[in-house]
Amino acid sequence: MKILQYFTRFNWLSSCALVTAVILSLPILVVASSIFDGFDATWTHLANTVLTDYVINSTLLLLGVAVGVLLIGIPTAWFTSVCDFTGKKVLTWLLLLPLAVPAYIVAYTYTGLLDFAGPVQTQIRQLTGLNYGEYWFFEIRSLPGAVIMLTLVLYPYVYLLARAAFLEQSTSALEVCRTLGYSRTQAFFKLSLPMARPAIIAGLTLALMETLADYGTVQFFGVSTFTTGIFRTFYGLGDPTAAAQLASVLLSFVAFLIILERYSRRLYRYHSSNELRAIPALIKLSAKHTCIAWVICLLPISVGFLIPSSVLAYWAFTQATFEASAFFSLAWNSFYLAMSAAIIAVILSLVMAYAKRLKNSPPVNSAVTIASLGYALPGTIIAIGIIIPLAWLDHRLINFFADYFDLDIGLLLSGTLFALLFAYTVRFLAVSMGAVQSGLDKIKPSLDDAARSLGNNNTMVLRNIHAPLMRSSLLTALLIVFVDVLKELPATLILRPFNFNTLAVHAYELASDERLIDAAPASLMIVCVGLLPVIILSRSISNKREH
Amino acid sequence: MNVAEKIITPLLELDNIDAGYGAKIVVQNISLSLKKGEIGCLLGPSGCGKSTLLRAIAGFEEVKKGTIKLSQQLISDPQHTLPPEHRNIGMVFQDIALFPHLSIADNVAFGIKHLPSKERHARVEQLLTLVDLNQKAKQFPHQLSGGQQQRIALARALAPKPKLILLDEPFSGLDAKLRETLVPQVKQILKHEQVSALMVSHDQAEAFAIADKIAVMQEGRIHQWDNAYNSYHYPATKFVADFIGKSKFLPAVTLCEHCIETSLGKLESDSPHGYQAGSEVLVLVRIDDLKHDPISENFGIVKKKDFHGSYFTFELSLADGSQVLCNTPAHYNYQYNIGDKFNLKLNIEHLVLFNR
Repeated sequence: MKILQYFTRFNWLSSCALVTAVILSLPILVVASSIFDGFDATWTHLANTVLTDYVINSTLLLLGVAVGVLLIGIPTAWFTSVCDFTGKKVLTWLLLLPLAVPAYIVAYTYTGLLDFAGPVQTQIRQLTGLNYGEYWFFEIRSLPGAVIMLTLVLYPYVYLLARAAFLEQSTSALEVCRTLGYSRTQAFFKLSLPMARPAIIAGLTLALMETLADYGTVQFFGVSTFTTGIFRTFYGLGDPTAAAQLASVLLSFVAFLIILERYSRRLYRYHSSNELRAIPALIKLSAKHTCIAWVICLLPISVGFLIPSSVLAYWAFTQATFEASAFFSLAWNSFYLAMSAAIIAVILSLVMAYAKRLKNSPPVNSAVTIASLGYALPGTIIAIGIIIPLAWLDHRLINFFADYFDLDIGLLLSGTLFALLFAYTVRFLAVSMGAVQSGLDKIKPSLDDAARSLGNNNTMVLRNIHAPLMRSSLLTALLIVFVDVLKELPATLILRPFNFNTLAVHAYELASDERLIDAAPASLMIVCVGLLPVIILSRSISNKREH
Repeated sequence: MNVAEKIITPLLELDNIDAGYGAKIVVQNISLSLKKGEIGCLLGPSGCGKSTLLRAIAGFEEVKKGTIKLSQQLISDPQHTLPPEHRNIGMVFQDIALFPHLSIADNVAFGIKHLPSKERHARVEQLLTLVDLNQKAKQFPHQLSGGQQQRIALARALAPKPKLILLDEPFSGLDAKLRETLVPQVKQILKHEQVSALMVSHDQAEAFAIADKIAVMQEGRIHQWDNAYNSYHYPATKFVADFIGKSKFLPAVTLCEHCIETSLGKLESDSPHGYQAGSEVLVLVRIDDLKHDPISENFGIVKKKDFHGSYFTFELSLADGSQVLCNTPAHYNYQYNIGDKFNLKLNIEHLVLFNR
C-alpha cells in the first residue's frame, strides 16, 4: 500500500526526470554489459598484443599528468591566495586561460613549432650548420610530449580548487599552528596542505578524467592508449563488441576516479571550516620573491596559452590557406550543433533541478546522480555506447518499414545529428546541471512562500522571483555547454553524419594530414570562443574574494 | 448582528485540526481562536509542531482534519485548501526572505502591484516611515543589517493590509541586544496597523513581551491557550507549569480542600485546590515563591550558587531529596557556599497542584 501511495504522489516532473535519467544511462549500460557478450577472436588478439600497451601507456599518462598538474597547480594557487605581491590580481585570472585551449590544439601548435620542419629546429640547423641526426632535440610526438601538453591545459583544475581551499582556510588555525612553535613554511606543509588535500584531490581527479578522455593528443602523438585503441578496434578491425569491451576496461579506470572524487569531496565538507573568518593576513612578498612568484606563474600561462595562441594567430592571419565560404559553413555547423546541445542540456537540467526541488525523493535524487555521471565518461565510451544500440534500432526500423510498407527509410538515428546531440547531452548535462542547480539553490524556499503569501500564484512566482534570479545561471550553463561541445572531438568523430564537419573535426583532419598551419584558423576560432566561459569564471573567483 | 457580537466574533478560528507534512501528522486536535487586533503566540520547544501549524494557517500545508476559518470564511478543510495567494494573510519568515534582486521599496511594493502607482508609492512610503527606514528605499536587501531586514520583511507583509500576519520565529536569527529593542517596536507597529498577528516562538520572554494570548504547545498539542498572566499563575498542565517560568515541583499531601502538607510545612490556598483530602500530589514552587529567611526553621542544602549581577540563584536540596530554586538580591554577598544550610520560607498564595 505504502509503495502505491508513493507512486500516486509522483508528479509529471519527477517522471520526466526519471525517464531522462534512464535514457541518459543507456550508453554506459551498453558498454558495461558488453563484458557479458563473450570474448571473440578480436578480443583475444587485442589481449595478446596491444592491451598491455594500452594499460601501461594510459597509466603512465595518468601518472605524468598527475605529477605535472600538482607541480604547477599547487604553487600557483598558493601564491595567488596566501601571498600579496604586485600584479597578483592579473596573474590570478591569467592562470585560468589555458582552460580555453583543448589539449589537441596545443599539441598541433607545438608540433608545428617544434618538429623537424618547424621554425625552431630550422633555426637551430641554420645557426649551427648541423644536419638531421647530428643533434639531439626533444621529440614532442611521444608519451612525455603528451604528458606535457595535457598538463599545460589541465593544471587549472587543481589551481582553481586548491586556491579556493587555501582561501577558505581559517586564519586562526594557522595562528594556532604558529603559537605551537611552527614556522610559516612548516605550517604550510603540516597544516595548509593537508587541509587542502581533499580539494586538491578533487581537482586532480577532474584533470585525470580529462586525460583519460583525451583522444586528439594521444592519437596525433601516436601514443597507444585506451581511446586510440577503441578507435582502432572500431574502425580498423570493424568490431564494435570488442571496442565496447575495451571501453568497459577504460570505464573501470573512470569508475575508480569517480569514487576517488566523490570521496574527497565528502571529506572536503569536513575539512572546510564554517566559522566566520577574519580577512587572512596575507604574506607580503619582497621584490626578490615577487620575481620568483612571477616566473612560477608566468611559465604555465605563457607556455599553456600565450605562446600557442599567438602562434595560432600568426599562422591563421599570415600563412594558412583559408577559404572563407567553407570556413563559415564549418563555423555555422559547429555553432548550431553546440547551440542545440546547449539548449537541450539546459532544458533537461531545469527539469531535473525542479523535480529535485519540488519532490526531494530518493528516486529523483538517484536520477539526478545518474544523469550527472556523464561528465566523467570519455566521449569515446559514450559514442560506442550510443552507436551500438542506435545501429541495432535503425536496422530493426529499416526492416520493419521495408517489410510492411515497402519503404526505404535509411538511417534515422545513427549517423544523424540525433546521435550527436544525444552524446553531447550525456557528456555535458552534468556541467549545465551544476550551474542551474547552484542558481536554484540560491533561491531559498521561503522566497517562494513569501511571494505566495503576497498574492502570487505558482506561475507568477516563476516569473517574478525565479526568472530574474536564475537568468545569469542559465546563461552560464548555456555558454559552458556550448563551448564544451565546440571543443569536443572523439564523440563527434565517431557519431557525425557522413561528410558533416565541425571546426574541431576540421582541425583534426588537417592536422592528421600534417597541414598544421592550415588547421590554425579553425583552432584559433575554438580557442577564442573557449575564452568566454573562462572570463566568466575569472570574474566569479575575483568576486568571491571581495566578499 | 449587533456591535457586541461583531467584536467577539473571532477573526481566525481553528476547529479541531490535524496537520502535517506528506503522510506525517505533526499537530493534532488543535482548536484556537484569535480576535481582531489580537496578537497570539504559539510557544513551545523546537519540534512541537508550532511552525507546521503556522504553515497550515498560511495555506502552505493541508489540514488532515477539522477546519480553519478566517473572518468566518472557510479557508482550509481536508477537501479544500485555499491557496496562500488568495488568503490575504501576510507572513514574516525566520530567514527573513527578502527578494535579493529587488530594492527595499520594490520589496515592500511586491504585494501591492495591483494598486495604481500613486497609491502604491504612498503606501510604501507610509510603511517605510512606520518601520523608520525611509532613507533606505533605494538600497538592496544585502546592504541592510539583520534587524533592518526584518523590519522591511514586516513592512512587506503589512503592505497589502492583510487581515492576519503570521510571524515564524521572526527574531530567532538576531542577537539578544537587538531582539530586546526590536520586539517592542514590532508590537507597536502591529498595534498601530491594527492587524491581528500570530507568532511562533520558543522564547518565553519574547512571547510575554509581545502576545495578548499564548498557546503553549508540546508534541503537536496545545496545552493551554490563555493570556500571559494566567499561563504563569494558573498553568493548565504540568508541562505548562514547567515550560513557563523557573520552578520545581515538591511532593505534598492534601489535608483539606484548601491546604496541603509539604516538607517545607503546611500551606494554605486562597481558593479550593480541587483534590480530596489525603491525595498525594505535586505542588508547583516558583522561584519567586521562596524567600531567604534566617529565622525560618526550614532549610535546604546549597547545591549550586549562580551570580547574575543583580541577584543570586540558589539551587537547594531539601531533606526529602527534592530540589527547589531561590533568588536572593545581590546587593550584599550572601555568605552561603555549596554544602551550607540555607534557611528559607515558602510563601504561596495560590496553590497549583498536579497528580504525582
